[in-house]
Amino acid sequence: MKKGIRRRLMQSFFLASGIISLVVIIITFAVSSVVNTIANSYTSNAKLKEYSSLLVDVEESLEGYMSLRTYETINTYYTLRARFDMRSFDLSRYPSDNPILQSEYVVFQLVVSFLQNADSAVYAWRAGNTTETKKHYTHALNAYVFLMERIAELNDLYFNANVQRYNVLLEVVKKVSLGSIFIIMIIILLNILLVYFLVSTITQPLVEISEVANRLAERDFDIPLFSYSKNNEIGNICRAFNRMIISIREYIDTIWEKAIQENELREKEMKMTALYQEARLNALQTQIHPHFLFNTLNTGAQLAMMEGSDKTCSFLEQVADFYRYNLQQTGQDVSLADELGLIETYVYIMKVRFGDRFDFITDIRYGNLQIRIPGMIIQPLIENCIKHGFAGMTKGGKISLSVYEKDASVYISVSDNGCGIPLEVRNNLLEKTNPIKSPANTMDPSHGVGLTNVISRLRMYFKRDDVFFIDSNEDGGTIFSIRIHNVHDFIDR
Amino acid sequence: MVQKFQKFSELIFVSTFVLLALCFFLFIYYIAFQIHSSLDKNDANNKVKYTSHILFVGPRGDADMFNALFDGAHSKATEYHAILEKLSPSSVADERGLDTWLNYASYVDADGVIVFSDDESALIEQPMNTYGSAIPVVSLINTNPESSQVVFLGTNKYEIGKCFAEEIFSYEEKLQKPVKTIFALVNSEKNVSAADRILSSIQEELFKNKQRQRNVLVKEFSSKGIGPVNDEVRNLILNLMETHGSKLILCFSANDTIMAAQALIDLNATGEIGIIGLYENNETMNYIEKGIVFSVISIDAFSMGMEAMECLFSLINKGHTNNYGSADLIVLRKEEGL
Repeated sequence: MKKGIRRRLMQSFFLASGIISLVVIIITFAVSSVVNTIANSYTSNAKLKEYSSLLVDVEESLEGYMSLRTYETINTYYTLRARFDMRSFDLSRYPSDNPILQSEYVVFQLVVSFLQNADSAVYAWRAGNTTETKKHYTHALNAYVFLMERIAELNDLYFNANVQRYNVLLEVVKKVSLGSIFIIMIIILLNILLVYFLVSTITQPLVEISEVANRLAERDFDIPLFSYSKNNEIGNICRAFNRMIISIREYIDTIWEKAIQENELREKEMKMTALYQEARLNALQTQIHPHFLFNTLNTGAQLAMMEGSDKTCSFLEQVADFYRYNLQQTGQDVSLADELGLIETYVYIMKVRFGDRFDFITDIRYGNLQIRIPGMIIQPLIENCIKHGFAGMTKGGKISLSVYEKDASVYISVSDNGCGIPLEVRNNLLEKTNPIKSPANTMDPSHGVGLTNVISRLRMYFKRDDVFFIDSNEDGGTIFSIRIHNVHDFIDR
Repeated sequence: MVQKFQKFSELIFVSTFVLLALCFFLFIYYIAFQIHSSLDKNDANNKVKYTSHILFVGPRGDADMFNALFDGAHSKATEYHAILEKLSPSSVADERGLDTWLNYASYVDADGVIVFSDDESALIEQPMNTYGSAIPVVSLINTNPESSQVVFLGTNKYEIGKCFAEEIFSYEEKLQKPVKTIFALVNSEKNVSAADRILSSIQEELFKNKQRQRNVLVKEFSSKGIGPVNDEVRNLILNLMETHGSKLILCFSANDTIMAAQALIDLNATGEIGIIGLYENNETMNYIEKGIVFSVISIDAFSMGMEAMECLFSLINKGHTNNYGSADLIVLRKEEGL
């Protein structure tokens, strides 16, 4: 049966009140009984007094008949005698060692003797037998004298006993009063304890719920579930709390997983930035103080112009532009058009350096060159073709740069007809550039800016692995392909 | 934890309730017990069934002897399932004749009466009960030969006289000289004939010892009427001391012995004159201890009381018993270890 908090509180209140009321009623009844007993203490004296008064009346009527011997007097005697017989008084009929009972016994015997002699005297007097009358009348009077003495003695005994009883009962009343106060105090104390425990039983789960709520408010979710199973309001609250705690834990777990994922992504991004900075640094370090070199080149270009050497002046300006581009690249990404501009400058420089050793062909078939890509991505590929692909070739080298769209992706492809890259090296490059499998600082320094740097930055920028491919072409050379998925997401608007 | 707490609370609740109920019922029981015991003290607790009502009638004087006799009889009462009622005047004003008490025995339909009278002349009329049957009576110590009572337990006056004579000889041995004049103090109101018989027995015994001449002077005094009896006794003793130089006084009741001892104290003659008394009480024992009374001839009253009950119930139950019984005499002296 469902027991609500209200019902339990009411029960405890009524139980405590009921117990105290019951105790008070019974104690009152007990005290009342004692008081009634006290009030009846002297009943025996009163009854004996009434009894002796009747005896006196009988004796007086006997005297009256003995004196006057009339119808009225004998009628009075018999009337009083009958009244006396009807008025029974419970006297002991046997001897006893109890003084009161013994006295009652003697009184009873004297009453019998008095009445017998009185009756005998009346009979004798009615019959006119003077001798017998005198004899019985004398005995009746003598017995009456003893009787009155003994009744007085019995009355004293009754009185003494009643006084004693009265005193005892008064003592009992005092003890009962003190005891009642004591008992009531104990019962009140026990009731307080009782109510305390009952109310504690009801409120203790609430206290625990409150503590749990406080811990939850302080984001402490490492708390055990409630085991309170009773089907009442508290049980409902406990179950609701349990459900809430479980939901919160699940929600926290979900958030935690997301946080871990985001953290991983953030780490990747940071790693990519670091790689980019490192690539730039490496590129600049190879040129020994780019600013100084840039200024020097500008000075050289002005000198060449003043001397009228247009070719030298143009060369130096192209070199200066190249390094200016490098110095201006503070951001991480650039537009594909800028990157292609840099490539033209770089190829011009390389052409001046290597002459007809190689040819450079561009094939731009994709119109929107505002695609954002990481900076310094294509230049290392062309540099790799010149430095490694054409190693040992004096002429006939060919480098093709093409931009085209295929399968909803834009491809930037750099190919050469050089000596190619062995399959093992290729695989090693692609595997090393996996940011998860290999740390960024393990790049092969022999590749200058380094292919590994390029591959890692591309993967981190586009947040996927299938962005860079190395293949062999028909001439035995190498094809570097950059695939940009979802190109619209990277177009600069 | 909540459920554990609830179980604990329920346990506390049940324990508290049980404890509370126990305390309360103990208290109610206590009240009931107190009331019951207070009523019980006053109500009958008559576990022994008594079947007989015996009256023990005695005089106001010689109360110690009477009490000793009553105690002896009372010690036997339970054996016979009898209630023994002591009837004795509480004061001189309350003093009633023996016949009045015997009538009282009739009125209360007593089963038997034991009478201790200090007056040998008192006549005992056997009382009748309600049904006209005679109520058995046993008289102790003194009795009137003309009484109609069936049983008498008393002392042989001749034997008492012989005992007195022996005590006189003992007194002379103590003095280491004969006592020429012996003064016998007799209360003229009580037991004169008994005193006469005792005196004749004394003189007979003294006469047997002819080596020494002794003279026994009998002086009567009356305790009847109002007045200082002690003065009369003192004047008698003073007169005899002055005229006869008497050194020994014989007394024939406990009260006479006390008066003689007080007279000797008044006359400052306690070391000069000895007293030999009859029947003891607390005061005579005190005088013996102080050396004022030489010796007291008495009986074992307690045993006599017991014997009286045995005789009375022999009469009630069997209808017969020895009509006469004599008690053994005992002599009480200081040197005999009081």
